[in-house]
Amino acid sequence: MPYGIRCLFILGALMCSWSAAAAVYQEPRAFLLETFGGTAPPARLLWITSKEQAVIDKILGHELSALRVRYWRAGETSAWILQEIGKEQPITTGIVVNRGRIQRIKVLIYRESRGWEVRYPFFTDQFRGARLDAKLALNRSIDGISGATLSVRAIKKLARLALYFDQQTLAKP
Amino acid sequence: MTHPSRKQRRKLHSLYVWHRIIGLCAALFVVILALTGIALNHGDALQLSQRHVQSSALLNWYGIQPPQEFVSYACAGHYVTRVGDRLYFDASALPADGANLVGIVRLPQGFAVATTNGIRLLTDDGRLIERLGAVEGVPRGIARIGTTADGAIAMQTAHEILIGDESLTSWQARPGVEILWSQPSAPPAALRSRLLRSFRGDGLPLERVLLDIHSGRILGHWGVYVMDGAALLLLFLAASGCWLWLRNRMKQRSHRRLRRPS
Repeated sequence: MPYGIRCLFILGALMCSWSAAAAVYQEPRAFLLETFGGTAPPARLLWITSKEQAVIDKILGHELSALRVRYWRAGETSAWILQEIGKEQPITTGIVVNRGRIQRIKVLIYRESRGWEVRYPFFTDQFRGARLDAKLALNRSIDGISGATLSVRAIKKLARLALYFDQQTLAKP
Repeated sequence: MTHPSRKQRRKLHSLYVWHRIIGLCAALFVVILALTGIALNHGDALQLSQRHVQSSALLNWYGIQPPQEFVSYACAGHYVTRVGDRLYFDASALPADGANLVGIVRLPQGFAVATTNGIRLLTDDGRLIERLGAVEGVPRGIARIGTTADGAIAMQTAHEILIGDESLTSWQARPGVEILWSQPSAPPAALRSRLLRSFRGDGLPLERVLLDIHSGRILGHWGVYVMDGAALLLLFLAASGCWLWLRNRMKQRSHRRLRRPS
């Protein structure tokens, strides 16, 4: 086989295997340990009521498939590990909320074939300090990334969802 | 202007004959293209991508065969089944992750369905409560799921047996506990055939079939050439129709000019 064709074949095979694999940037458990200084508090459960489901519909644009969500809280800090589909695959994201504001967002597992730039701090740092306004939108604009529109949209939805969930856990006794 | 020669008349007549023959041949393709084209143009309104073909002959034609893999576990009158790469609670589809099904157990709030990758908690009517995976302390590589004598959920992994607490937020290794493990069980014939129908039926959206009919791909790669041929016939009809109309018009004009009194 000619050298050029062989190179193209190998490059194609590499690209296929790369695009199919999930990139784990940080194990969710490690994210929790890092967030809470080495000891993760016990998980708590937030049961989703039908009223909350209606709000989640507005935030995500679709129904949340689960009836309850797990979270971790220590004092005024809560941590959420949430997933939303970018284009075809779920993006697993860790979100830390403190006093109703986002303290940190980290993309933990990225499975899409493109748009992975959302994991970089130049994008995720924009969320630091963001909170929900009365219309359940973020109180600041987040700059997008060309070529990663759907992933950006998914992360913004998850940020709003985590802030909303945090509000609900504080509102419930 | 003189009358067309006999040779020209024969040629024109033969063009009429060909126009008629090709028109009849193309009629069938025109009907197919028009109907499928209109349907595809309104695909969203007609929900073509959400509707699925149920015809066995058509599913066979597309090579969508009943799956070989069919694993089922029963619990409290309900069945959880893995058909091919899909999971079902009774006849309702569950979110699947391609992992092998290892069992189902009864919980106070519903059911726990285990695959090698994690656990899905379901309500009594099969709605998903939560998926438990590595983050929730459920390791990968679950081999079996069962319950202890006091009703706690237990799972066997490669190295140990873990028992979950009431809210399934923490898992503890407890060797030597007696556990009733979930066992495979064949589903009733009616459920089995319903699952097979569902598995095959969900595999072929109506939109796919209409697109393939429209492009001719439903007949394989030769079908595309057939539709190419139909397109050429339509081009011929357009050209011959225009040519015949133009000839007639010119003929009529020359007749009128000859009859006009000088």
